[in-house]
Amino acid sequence: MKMVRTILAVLFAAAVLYGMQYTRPLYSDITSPIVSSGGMNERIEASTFAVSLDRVRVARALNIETFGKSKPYTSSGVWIVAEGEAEAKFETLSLTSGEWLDRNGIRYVLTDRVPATIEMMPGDVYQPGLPRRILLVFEVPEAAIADGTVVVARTKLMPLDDEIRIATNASDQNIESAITIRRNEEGPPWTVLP
Amino acid sequence: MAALLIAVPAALAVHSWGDIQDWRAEHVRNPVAGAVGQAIDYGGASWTVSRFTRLAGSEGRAIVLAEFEAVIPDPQALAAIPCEVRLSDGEGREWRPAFLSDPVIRRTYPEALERSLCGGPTFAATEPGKPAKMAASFSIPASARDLTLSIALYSARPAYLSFKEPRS
Repeated sequence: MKMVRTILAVLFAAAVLYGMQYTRPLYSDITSPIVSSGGMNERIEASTFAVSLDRVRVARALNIETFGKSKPYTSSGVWIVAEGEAEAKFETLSLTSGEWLDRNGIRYVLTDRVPATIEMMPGDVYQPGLPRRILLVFEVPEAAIADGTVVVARTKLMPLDDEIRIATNASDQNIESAITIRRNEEGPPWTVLP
Repeated sequence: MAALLIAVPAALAVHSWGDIQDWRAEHVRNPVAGAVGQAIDYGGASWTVSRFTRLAGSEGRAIVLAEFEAVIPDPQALAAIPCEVRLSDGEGREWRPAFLSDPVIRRTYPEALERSLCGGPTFAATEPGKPAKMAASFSIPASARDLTLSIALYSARPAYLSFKEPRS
């Protein structure tokens, strides 16, 4: 009888260990960001900052107007232009990571081809109580448009930090031929022309 | 089993003691309160805040300008010491100095632009006994109340200098 109990106990322990080994979360899961999600035209609050998106447009080409000169940017994919507002809640901070997450989980970082995305670059700071307009520009393949999500975080690498995910209404049925972004010398740093 | 009740917390405490010490050493928590115009000894220098004023900025903002001096007997001793200047309000919000000064400062107090940022390079460039002139400006919502300016030298933490906004 004692022998049977011992064997059962060993089998039970082995089963528990086996189960733990296969359900063990990856290190990247344990340290993954703390996500706050929401939709368009909604202020999404993380613990340290808040973001809202009010407009997402898709186009085959971009025109960037600086000092009266227009420079076209073409792409073998499409350009996604998202506009919204961001605010730090308690202390001055920078938001340096913006990504487009498609429905298959593929992430596209902000384009570095277009200087207009400079508003999301390091060194650009958000002050508590002073919301600022943000402009995010992504270059993605056409298949990545539908059901895409915009992901904003302070940095790409900080474990257990805030991350805001905003499900967009972008559609591959509604692709414009071109969008013009004008850099301003005064007032808001840019205007996305209608 | 009973031994584990003591051994596990003890092991955790020993293991994290260094981290707790580091955390305590890095967090400012002992304010050395001062008033505008008054000299205070802190971190091996004599500090005076000469101006702490609020200006009207654009789009519902206020611009806060702080000008301060430090007379340092041995500037080289502080040459590698970082300095942190912060502005906080009654709601616990905290602002870091603005990177570029607002046009209103250029118009109202242009001499403030000639002042340096707080930190080792500024201290090192100062002659012993002469004041190191520094300034910081902040962009805050006009509605922010009960402002406190804090100046912390990394070598003097957890103590920091703390100045309340003068009543105008």
